[in-house]
Amino acid sequence: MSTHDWSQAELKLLKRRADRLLRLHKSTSQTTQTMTQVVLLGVGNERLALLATSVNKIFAVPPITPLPQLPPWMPGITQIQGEMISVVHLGQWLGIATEQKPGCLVLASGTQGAIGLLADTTLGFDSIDEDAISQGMGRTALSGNRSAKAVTPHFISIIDIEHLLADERLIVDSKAISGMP
Amino acid sequence: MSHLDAELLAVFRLQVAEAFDELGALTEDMRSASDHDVAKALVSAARVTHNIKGAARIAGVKGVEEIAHQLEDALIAPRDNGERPSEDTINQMVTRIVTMQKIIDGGQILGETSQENKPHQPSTQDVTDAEGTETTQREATNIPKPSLQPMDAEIQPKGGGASVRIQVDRLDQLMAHTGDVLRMQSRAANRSGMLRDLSEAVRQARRTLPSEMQYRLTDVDRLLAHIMQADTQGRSYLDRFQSSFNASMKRVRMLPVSGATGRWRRIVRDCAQELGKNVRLRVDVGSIEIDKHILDGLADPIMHLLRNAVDHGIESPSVRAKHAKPSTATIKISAQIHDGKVQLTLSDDGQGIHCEHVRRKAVERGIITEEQAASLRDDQARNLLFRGGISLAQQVSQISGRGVGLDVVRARVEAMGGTACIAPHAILGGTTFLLTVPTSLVATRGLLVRAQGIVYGLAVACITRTLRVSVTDIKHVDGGAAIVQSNGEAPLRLRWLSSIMGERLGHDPETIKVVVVAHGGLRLGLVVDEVIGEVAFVAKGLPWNLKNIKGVSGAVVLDQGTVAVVVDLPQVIHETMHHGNQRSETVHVAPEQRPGRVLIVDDSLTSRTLEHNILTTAGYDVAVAVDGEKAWTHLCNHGIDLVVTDVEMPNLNGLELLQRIRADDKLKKMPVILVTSLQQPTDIAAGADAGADEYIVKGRFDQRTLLSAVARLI
Repeated sequence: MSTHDWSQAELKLLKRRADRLLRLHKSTSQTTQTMTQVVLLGVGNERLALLATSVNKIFAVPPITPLPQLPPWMPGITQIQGEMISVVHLGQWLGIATEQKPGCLVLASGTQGAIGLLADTTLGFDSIDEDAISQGMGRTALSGNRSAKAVTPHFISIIDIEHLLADERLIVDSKAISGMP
Repeated sequence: MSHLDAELLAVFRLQVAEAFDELGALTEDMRSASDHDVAKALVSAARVTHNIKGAARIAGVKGVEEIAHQLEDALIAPRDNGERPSEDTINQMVTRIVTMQKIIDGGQILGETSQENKPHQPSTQDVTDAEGTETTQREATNIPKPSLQPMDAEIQPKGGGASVRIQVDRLDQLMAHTGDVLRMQSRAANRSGMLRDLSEAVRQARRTLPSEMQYRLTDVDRLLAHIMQADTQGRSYLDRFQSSFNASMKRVRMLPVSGATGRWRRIVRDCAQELGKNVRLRVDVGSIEIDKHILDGLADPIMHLLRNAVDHGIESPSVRAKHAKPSTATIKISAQIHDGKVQLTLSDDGQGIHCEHVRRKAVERGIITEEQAASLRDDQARNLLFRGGISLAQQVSQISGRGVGLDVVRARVEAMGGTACIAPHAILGGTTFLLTVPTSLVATRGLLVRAQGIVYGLAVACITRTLRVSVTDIKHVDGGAAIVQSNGEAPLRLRWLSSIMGERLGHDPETIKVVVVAHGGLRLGLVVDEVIGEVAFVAKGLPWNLKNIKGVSGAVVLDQGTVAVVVDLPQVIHETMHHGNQRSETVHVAPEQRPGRVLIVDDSLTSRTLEHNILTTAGYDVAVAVDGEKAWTHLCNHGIDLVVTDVEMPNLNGLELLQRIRADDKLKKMPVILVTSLQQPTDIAAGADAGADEYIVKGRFDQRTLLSAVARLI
């Protein structure tokens, strides 16, 4: 046990330090609770965000092999480390007008499997305050699109990969064979 | 239930599933074999039953243990007395086996002693009621029921060596490496080619250099020779490794066809019991082994054929008696290997298929016309059943009769690269089905071809030959493009691979390349742009969300990392040859050969000549006119595909010509390109308003601009 007698000045100094530490702790703990990491993509005039946890990797656009009977927003398939992946043109899927040639392929995955998403550009990573995200798309360009689930105050549309992967339009079955009787 | 118990039960299920299969076969032997063989069957059956009893005791499945004990007693008496068991005794044995099977299938395998586990009629309800008190049923539902489906592949080396069970997905991972090895091999071959080119380049350079430099290059040349030698050795090693790895992978995935016989017996037995028929299944598949995936893939088609045979093929005992047939009907499954493929033959001694009945049903269903029905041979009529929609069953039952099935059988077998058909001659007097499947799925030989820039893989097994055909030899036969052959064979139908795959058609050269493919007696010529070469490849499935793409069976990764589409040749051939309404798809071929006809309208000789030369060199059929009026006369009297016109001209200027074209009913869709020195925005707007498809300013004239506009519009 210390027997040091604290002067008033020392006590004031210590109190100020304690207050500062408390403020720092509060701001740090708030940040870790509400901020979420996203990958920002540019498609046409829109900025889109994918949760970083659903993005496996971002590539330069690899060769894409077209297949018959695919919808127009699915230009074909590609292979990533030996695995066959369907490629979805994010702009065409979301109905965003873009004349730019896709500049990157984002390999995203969820419980259904993996998918390659073509975007114009990668804008980088960011932390988005979850509390500031308004659920629903309001009157944004992507309102009504099931894959776009929320928008930030800076009008970045957040794409829900699980919703996208669960969309039945992604399933292509051109010759459904009935089961054995 | 502890994890250990669950694991033990899983092992028990697998063990007894195999033991039940063996017992099923032995009871069949007891019915039909000689006295000597029956004695041997009794000894084996007693041993197997004893093993089941022991395993059930260890796993704590008392119900099965007790029934196995009773069965063992029933077997020991005739075995020790050297007697042939009576039909009644054999039926009791079968009933006990079924009861044990149902206890296990029903998941009621807790250590409960059944009050009712004495032999009784094996209705499902009966077994469930007897075995399941409220408590045991509730507990039973909590038991993680290990599937009897082959989750594990058992590797059974010949010669009775030790065996090990491996998870199938691990085996699949290993199989994926066969593709990696093939890519390594292909890359190594490319590297060797580059080294050869480099060496040749060095040699040539040396000849042209001064002598001092030549001396220096000698060292480089020597070093290169060493590298090439090492490379050759490396490739040779890789080739040997690939070959040995492939062979090992093939072996490791092989399972005996005989392993499926127990399941077949159960299907026949259950189905026959349900329908009150006596049916015996004879199986002669020898020691033939087949890839596990193919064996699994055959399960449903064979089940369907067996149920069909018992339900439709085999007559009731009274009818059989009327026709002096043995009361016990026979179904036989045999297997043989031909050309690396396994042919499974399923025959029955039932009533066969009434061809007239099939013809009538096919006409009723609108599948064929009456004229077509009359011209069909009997074997062709029988095979109509594979086209779906025709059921010969008098009524729909749980077993069959919905008119779907044989088409699915064929689809499943063809999906594995096999064929399914009805043999022209029945072996046992009823119906004989022939299923042919490859023995292995590991690395198959494929021909890589290119069409419209996309690389496709075609299975070599379906390729007859490749041809070069002059476009002048292409005729229109029956509404489609075809090559009429001089050897008297039927014309070879042609289909453009890019068209089948939904890609646009390009211009064909004077000589086209045709890959002749055949399947199930049908032939088709696939037109491609380039035949790249034959390779070994391991086809991969399509991504998870692409369940089925017509005409595509998978994809393969090429050595450059790009993906080639593996064409489902059986399906493509079948669809093309059987679906008459698709024949017009190839009619466009002939017009494709005709060069586009372009009319150039310009009062400037220089401009006219320049444009004429550019377009003629590009292969277009070009006509010229010096003003709009002359152009209009030409358009009214000659077939023209596109007009390239100046604007400022005497008599009738370009805009007036354009307006006249747009106002004419016949010509209004004619593409028109304005090539003019007028470059003000108002001029361009006037051209657009008049309906020009393209506006090219002479000051910025570039032949590529003109050619690309013409190619796009024509």
